[in-house]
Amino acid sequence: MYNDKSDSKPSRAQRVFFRARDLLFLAIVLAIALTFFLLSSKDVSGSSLEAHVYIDGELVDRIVLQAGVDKDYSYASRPTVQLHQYADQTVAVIVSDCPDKTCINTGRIGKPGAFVACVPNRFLVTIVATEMTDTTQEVDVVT
Amino acid sequence: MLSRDSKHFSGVRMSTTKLARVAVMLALALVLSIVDGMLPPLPSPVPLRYGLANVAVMAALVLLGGGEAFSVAILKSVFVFLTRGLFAGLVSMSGTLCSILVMLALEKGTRGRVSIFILSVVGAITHNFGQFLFLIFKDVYRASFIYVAPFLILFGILTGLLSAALLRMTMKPLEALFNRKIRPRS
Repeated sequence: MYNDKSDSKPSRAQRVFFRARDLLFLAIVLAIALTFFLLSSKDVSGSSLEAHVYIDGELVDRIVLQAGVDKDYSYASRPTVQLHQYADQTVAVIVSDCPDKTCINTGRIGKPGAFVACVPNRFLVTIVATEMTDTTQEVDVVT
Repeated sequence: MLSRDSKHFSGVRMSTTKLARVAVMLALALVLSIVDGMLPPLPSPVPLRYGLANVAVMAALVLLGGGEAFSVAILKSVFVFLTRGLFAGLVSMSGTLCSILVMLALEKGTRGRVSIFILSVVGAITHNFGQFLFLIFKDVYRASFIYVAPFLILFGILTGLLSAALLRMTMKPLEALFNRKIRPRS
């Protein structure tokens, strides 16, 4: 009794690792990813970009991303977090006291929808194209 | 395998074996999540991790069973909750819950015939989505879902592939460990 060796069931470790038809699944998932990517990289030239800064879920600052402006930002409620605006219309968190430094590792962001977050500090910056909501409403009606 | 043999034993004996096995896999999951935290961050514009701990959860699912895998996954999140606080625990729990429920459904729905690759990739992608939907829902990230989704899927496939390969390598020794005869004292 309690003898696993005599068990006629095949070993569970003999599990199939990869089947040819898994490629089909992979292709479908990649197609979904590509669709989302194409939807997100809609042309937003002509609209101006803004970096919205949220602390504790509250919008505390809107930085207009103008080319050629290079300056630092820090906020009184989070003196340990420092944000930098670069001349190429991007922003990045450059100083933070959080343990994992995920926010600093995210690097520069500048595409609409992109964000950088410092979860321990409840600090969030998102990039918003200010006319983005308008363009989505101007969908051509095709029946 | 376990369930058939353990019918010969009292309920106590069976649950002790089960408990020990879940504890071993939980310890493995916790060590793997520490290792995960020490690795360099993924080159992704969205903060994501490798999800190495999922190797232990999947090993429990494939080698032990659904209940054991569910216990390992949930207890791993409870550990995060105890060590890193309520918020980190909830973030971990949201991803884990999505991932384990979908993996359980896949495993049970195909009666264990789903490939390790699919199981791992689907687990990784659903984990990513669970966490991000929770963070977007909690207003921590006001990111657009459309912007985040392709990265979640792409890195889900890559990290899922990594976990699947690790599981394939470790599955035989793990099964040998679980199949060692444990002689009852009576």
